[in-house]
Amino acid sequence: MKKVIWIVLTAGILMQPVASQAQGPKWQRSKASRPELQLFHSQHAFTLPTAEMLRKGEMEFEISHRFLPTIKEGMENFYGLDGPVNMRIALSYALTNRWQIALGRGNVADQIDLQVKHKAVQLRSGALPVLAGVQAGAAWNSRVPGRDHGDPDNFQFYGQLILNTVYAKKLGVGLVPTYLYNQNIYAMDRQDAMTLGSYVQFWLGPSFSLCTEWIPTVSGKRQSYNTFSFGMEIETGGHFFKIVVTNNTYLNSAQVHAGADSRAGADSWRLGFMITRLLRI
Amino acid sequence: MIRIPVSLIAAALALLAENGIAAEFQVDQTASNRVGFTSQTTLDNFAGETNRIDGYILFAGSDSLAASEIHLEVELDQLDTGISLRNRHMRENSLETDKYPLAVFHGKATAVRQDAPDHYLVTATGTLTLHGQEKELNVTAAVQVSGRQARIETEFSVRLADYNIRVPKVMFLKVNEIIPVKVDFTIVQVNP
Repeated sequence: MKKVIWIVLTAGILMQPVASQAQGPKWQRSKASRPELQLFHSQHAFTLPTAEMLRKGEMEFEISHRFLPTIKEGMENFYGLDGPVNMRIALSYALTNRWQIALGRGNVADQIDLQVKHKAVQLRSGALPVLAGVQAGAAWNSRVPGRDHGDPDNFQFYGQLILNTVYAKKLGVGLVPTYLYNQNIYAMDRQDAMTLGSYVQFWLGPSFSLCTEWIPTVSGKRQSYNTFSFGMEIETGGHFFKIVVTNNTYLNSAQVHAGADSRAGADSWRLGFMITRLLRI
Repeated sequence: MIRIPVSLIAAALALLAENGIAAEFQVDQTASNRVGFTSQTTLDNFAGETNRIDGYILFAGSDSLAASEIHLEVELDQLDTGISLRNRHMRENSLETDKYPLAVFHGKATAVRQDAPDHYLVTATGTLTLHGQEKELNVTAAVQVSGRQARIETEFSVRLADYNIRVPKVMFLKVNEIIPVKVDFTIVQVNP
């Protein structure tokens, strides 16, 4: 019996190295973490938002212009660039990777707006990944002739659903249904409007793309005309430069979704631009 | 009671050594690991880093370096330069992390020199796979041993063209052609 035990023990000890070597390392790759899904590059088409977010702690400064003279006026007004202009400046700040706020001001009625944006859903499906977000905003028209600054009719509110998808990292499509309360601050009664904003962006290279934006009013009141814009976007290290041709001279969301003041067409195209810069303190 | 002769134990240990049974160390995921790079040009200076390094080291002693094995992986998706847009450009346009998510070093130790109590200089040679390209890489690492753990620090340079990595041509974003890389991580022994 002792002899058998010796044989088993000896074989066990001597065979162990061979068995261990055959097994190789015990190490197993830990589960890979993935960055937040990003589809569009910028946080904006032209005036509509994309579902892209700043990263926690990042800020974005925006300055936008819409030149009021039409392109058709030609050299006399340098295709509109001599001005005057509607302009907007804004600063966004990301509270988290999925929540951010923005404070902006436009010179039309000295409107100040506060926006809150949230990235709600990201679906990493193969061909058509989807990002969905929501944005809510409040706008205060702080200078309306004949009214006090704080008149309740000077305030507008809006909510937006943002749906984005990008095919093959080249073709992006966005849908932005928007509800706007108090669409026309000059109307006797407060009126609502529903728009179904959409945009398509096509990237010709890593940093150059073409974009169109279409904002039809689908129910409620509208200023005069639906908004149509087209142009290009150039992306640099931390900047986006967007040059746009549009029939809508407004920039703040509450004013844009109220409608354009001229028909989309050769007689009424205006030039505009948006420059954004990412900042980190 | 069964008594095991000393000669039998000695024979077994000798065989263990002959077969090169190595201690296995794995990257301690709970430690403050860091893989970082810097780029300094006249227009722009920036650094990137990640703590997502993983892998193992098999080490059978200074006399059995041929049996050693080093395998380290870095998740490139997680490299952070401090600006999300720049991260995205780096991932999508330069490193193409969808196709090549990992940087992998696989090699072995070729020399070990003790320069202080519990402190060693280890030379390793192997292959660095990055952006789908493989290149031989020789590095010297400082290893500070503490019980069953060791802290490893090393530096080397990566020439982007060697790995077919496109240097960004985006306006205002300039990157060095040769990128210094620093690696600093802790390993812990996992087998007896």
